[in-house]
Amino acid sequence: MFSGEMRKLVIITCVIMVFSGAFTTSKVVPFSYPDNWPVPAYDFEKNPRTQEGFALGRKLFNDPKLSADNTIACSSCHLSFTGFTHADHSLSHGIKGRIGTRNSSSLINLAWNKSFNWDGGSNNIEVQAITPITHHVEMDNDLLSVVEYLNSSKEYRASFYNAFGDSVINSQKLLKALAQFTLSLTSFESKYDSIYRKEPGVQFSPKEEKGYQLFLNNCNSCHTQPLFTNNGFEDNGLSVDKDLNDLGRYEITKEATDSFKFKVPTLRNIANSAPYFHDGRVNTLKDVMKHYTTSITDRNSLSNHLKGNLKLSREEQIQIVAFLKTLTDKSFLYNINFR
Amino acid sequence: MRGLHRNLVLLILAFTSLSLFSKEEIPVSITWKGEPFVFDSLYISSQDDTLRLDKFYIYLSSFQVVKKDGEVEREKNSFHLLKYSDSITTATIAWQPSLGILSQDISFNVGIDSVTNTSGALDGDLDPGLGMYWAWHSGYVNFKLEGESSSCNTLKNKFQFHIGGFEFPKKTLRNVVLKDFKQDSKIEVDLSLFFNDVRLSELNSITTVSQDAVKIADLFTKCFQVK
Repeated sequence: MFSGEMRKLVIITCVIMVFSGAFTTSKVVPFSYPDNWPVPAYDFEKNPRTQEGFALGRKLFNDPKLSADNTIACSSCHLSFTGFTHADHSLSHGIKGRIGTRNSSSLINLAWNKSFNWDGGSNNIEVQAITPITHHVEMDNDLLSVVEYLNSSKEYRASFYNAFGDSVINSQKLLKALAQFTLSLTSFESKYDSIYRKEPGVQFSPKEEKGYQLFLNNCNSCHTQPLFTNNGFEDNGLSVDKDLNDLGRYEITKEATDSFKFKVPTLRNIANSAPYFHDGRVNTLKDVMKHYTTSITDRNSLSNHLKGNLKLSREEQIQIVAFLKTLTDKSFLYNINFR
Repeated sequence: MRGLHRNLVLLILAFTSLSLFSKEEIPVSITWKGEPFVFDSLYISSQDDTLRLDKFYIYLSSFQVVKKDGEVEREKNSFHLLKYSDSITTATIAWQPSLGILSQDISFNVGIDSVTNTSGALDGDLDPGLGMYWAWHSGYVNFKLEGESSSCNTLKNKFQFHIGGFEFPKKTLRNVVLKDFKQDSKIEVDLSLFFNDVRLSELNSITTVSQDAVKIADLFTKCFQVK
């Protein structure tokens, strides 16, 4: 087909193109998780993970210029060392000090989530990011302005080229890059995980073991191991805050049966992610236990898994808290790649 | 040489005449009682509402023609955001169904299907930054109709119908099938037919997934006609 000279030229051209990146695509990094875990809900085939995509997502996650006045980044309210929630803030503040109505969610093992936000209003992690970027009390920007800003940056254009093979940025690539980062926030290296995987030399203390058994009998139906959430929506009997008057899932479905229901959060890294509940109303795990044992509001929407207050002695509550502390994963909380 | 020129001219003529038989795009125009729509004009509905329209944005999707022999030709990746405002009263669907001489049925959806609504971040006409996407309750707004009417007891007499929702029982995706679609046909959306059925003093603001949105979605399918 080609003469000798011609063939040589074609080969040289191909070699040059490969080395110049014309044929290269970023190397796909498979999503890994423990063998005995359920299959993730997210379809990674539609957004293959790459080092470049992850690095770009991390950069976007930490960039306050995504907000309307360049002051608030995703990471402003989602900090790695607190399990990506907002330390010491019951309700977070967005641009210009505007206060929201819900506690910033922790971002852990999101690939298994079937819906996002406390009310489950977002149906895919990629589009979830639109909510904080555009919400009036959060970053208050619009997607097209963010895309315009990114396209005006030579550095971002290069990063998007490296991640997606195209330096023209649109909202789809922005959202897929952010998802590559947030989906990578996996946590399965806690003491509990070592025991769950039967790794040699690791065991619960007697107090933790008792707490684990109590947890399985009282909490696991909603906070189901190993993800420590059943991915559902439950009314856990919290009284309604009259100032916030938040009806939770009802705000999305407008079904009366969904009143007071909120997404069941994971309990992984719970010891580091205070304050607790959808409005951050309590600061300690001791107070969380106090709610479940003394203050459950009985109403029609109350979770089927709760029949009034849990009957747990003070000592038993302490044992459950001891177990919850075994869900702390330091390799996750202090992972410098996540900052 | 002269012969070559003549052949070239004949070839060009042949291609030109061939293109007359393949439709390059389908015009979709908005009208009022069959007349071209004029933004800024005041219209009076059969409900006696005097109204002016500011904008009308709509998603049409899943275009297909059903031919007389039963063959179905579908447009691939068929998602179109049509935006009408100011002087824009005609938009086009850039699709070339190979139409026969006989008329056929044309079918399309008003809105975006549930699979697409749960597929994450998309691009092109489905870019969530185009103002037709609800972030707080993931999903596309199937159509937006905004304007003002003295019948509306609202801020600045504004009415706004933002119709979306893809899940049963509040699903607002609607299929429209129109008959007698031919080579030179176009689609018209006669907005008077919608306002004939809506009393603006009673229903003038829908911005969430709701039963009212379902009702409006049902009413709106009447507006489509082949001309």
